[in-house]
Amino acid sequence: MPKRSAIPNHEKGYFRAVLGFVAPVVVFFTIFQIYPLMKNVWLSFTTIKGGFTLNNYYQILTSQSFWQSTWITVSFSLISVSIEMLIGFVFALLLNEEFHGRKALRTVFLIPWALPTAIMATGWKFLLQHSYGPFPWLLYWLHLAKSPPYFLSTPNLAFISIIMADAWKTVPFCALLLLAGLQAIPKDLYEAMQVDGAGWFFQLRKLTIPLMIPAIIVTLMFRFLQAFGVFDLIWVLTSGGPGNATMALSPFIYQQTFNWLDVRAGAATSVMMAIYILVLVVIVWTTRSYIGRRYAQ
Amino acid sequence: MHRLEFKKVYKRFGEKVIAVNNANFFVDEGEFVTLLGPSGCGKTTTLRLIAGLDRTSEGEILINDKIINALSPSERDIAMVFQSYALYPHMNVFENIAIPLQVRKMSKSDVKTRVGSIAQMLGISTLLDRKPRELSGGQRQRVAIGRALVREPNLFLLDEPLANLDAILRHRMRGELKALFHSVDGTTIYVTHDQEEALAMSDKIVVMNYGVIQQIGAPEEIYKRPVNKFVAVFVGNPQINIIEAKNAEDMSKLFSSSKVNALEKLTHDGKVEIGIRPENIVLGKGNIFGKVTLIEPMGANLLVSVETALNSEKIKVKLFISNTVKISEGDDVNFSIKESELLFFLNEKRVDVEG
Repeated sequence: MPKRSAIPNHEKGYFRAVLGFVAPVVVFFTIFQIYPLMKNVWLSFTTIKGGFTLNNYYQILTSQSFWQSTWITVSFSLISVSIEMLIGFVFALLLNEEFHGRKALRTVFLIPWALPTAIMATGWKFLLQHSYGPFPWLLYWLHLAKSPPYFLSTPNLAFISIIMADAWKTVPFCALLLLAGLQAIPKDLYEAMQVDGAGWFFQLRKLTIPLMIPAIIVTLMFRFLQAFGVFDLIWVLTSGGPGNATMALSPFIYQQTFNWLDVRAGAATSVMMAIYILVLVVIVWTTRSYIGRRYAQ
Repeated sequence: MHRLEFKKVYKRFGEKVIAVNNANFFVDEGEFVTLLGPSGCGKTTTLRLIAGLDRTSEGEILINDKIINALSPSERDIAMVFQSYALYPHMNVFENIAIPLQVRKMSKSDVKTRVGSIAQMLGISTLLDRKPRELSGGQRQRVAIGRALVREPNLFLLDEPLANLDAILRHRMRGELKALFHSVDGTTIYVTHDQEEALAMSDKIVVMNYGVIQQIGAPEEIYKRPVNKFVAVFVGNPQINIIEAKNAEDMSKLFSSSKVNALEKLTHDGKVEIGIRPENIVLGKGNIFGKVTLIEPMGANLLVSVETALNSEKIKVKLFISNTVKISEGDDVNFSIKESELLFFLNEKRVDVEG
């Protein structure tokens, strides 16, 4: 009796076809994602001569700039995401109302989000420029500032500027995701509440917000992970300055790796950032499944 | 308790659709009134106009002689049971029923007793901490009714509350609902497309079609004296037999000569049709002859289709007989028609025919 192959004959062709379809992705992924990732981890644990060391980590964990970057990243993410969620929610509620020209407004509303970050950041840079930017001068003319403020070269103002620009860009994104959540709430629930005598605020508190929690969590997760890795906006607007006032982790890694050519310190910082994100994801997922149980429908 | 009145009410959607066309009717205190009609006839829109969920395009709605057109749904003090039940998915049964009381800022202990007694009345006391998704269709429906009853409103609106239940449950709930709403003493407006439900439950039925009220009357009146062919066909199961009176020769095969003379005179004014309810055809007696073409057993009764040849055409009528009668398809039979119970329609409108 001939030896039976593990794969029946008629399935061999199918198997080969599957392999053919999957191969390009696997190759692409290996070259551009897995290899750099491994190489990065390897770099972070080695000396220039190639020996194993923990010195790269010792170096960054004891440096003030790493912890400052961490702090800037965390505070930037927390503040900007909170603001964006709040304003986004208000806009989502507005865009969910029926009014004339709603469709047109929804489209226009998305433009900031559709713009490439580098381009919108250049635009904001122009708006905030001290010498000729409209924004500082407007504040001055309206007597809200004694002199046109130096937005991009005063540490606190630079930090605020980045949050403003980030909010401008991503409020539409938050509003869009939240709007999708709003529209998933059946209309008859609102009608039932109205007939039961509930006013607008009661409906918001007892119906809209509880039923929006899944959508809010998804939006929060998206936004938080995005904000945590912020790079292009900062790089174009302030390059991390003035001083290191806006040096979040991503630009810090770039600076270490490509400006100072300290590849191994950059690699170690990347690994640290990956760990932060991992912790973040774990936190989000546990709260998500907890709240999911509470509010599942 | 509330009295409700519609005065020349119109509801238009856009340019072309008139969902409610000149509705005028009156619902007295404590009455159980059914809005009956096929889907798309405007009955649900009428209900939503009463609730304030849609606004009238024209006309006035009055509760206790006060115009309520401008009031928002929350100001009308009306309770409504939705066809979908519209239970709040994130709240348990207790919270769902308690919402109307919480809106009214009732104290926690009062809410507890009220919800408790309503739940007891509806037999859902053991389900209070379940979420809607953990309930069966019938249980959800009870919760929806509980939410409507809990604040003891003066006017109840029920939008096809039995439509989503299976047949057995629907029949049981029909009786329960009727008893329930009689006992709570509220004015009730009930929307359904099921004529059996309407006949069984209502004090008064409002029949609608294409947004126009066709007839308003007690169930018996609607059934025995429909104003037009639409009402006659829509109400009654199995459907009424309709025969067109085309010529005297054909008619003389079915009816007495005095009827035939009167009918013939009528045909000068337009299209004449005769409606015969199945229960008014008597099999085995009489001198109309035909052949059995179909037998549909319906439990105690058999619904028998009989084909009979007139002079110019063949007609088919359906009639009821008891299931104890031995009969089979293809049998030759004779039957008679109770002439006193006939309905006559001239151009679709019912007319009285002497003779």
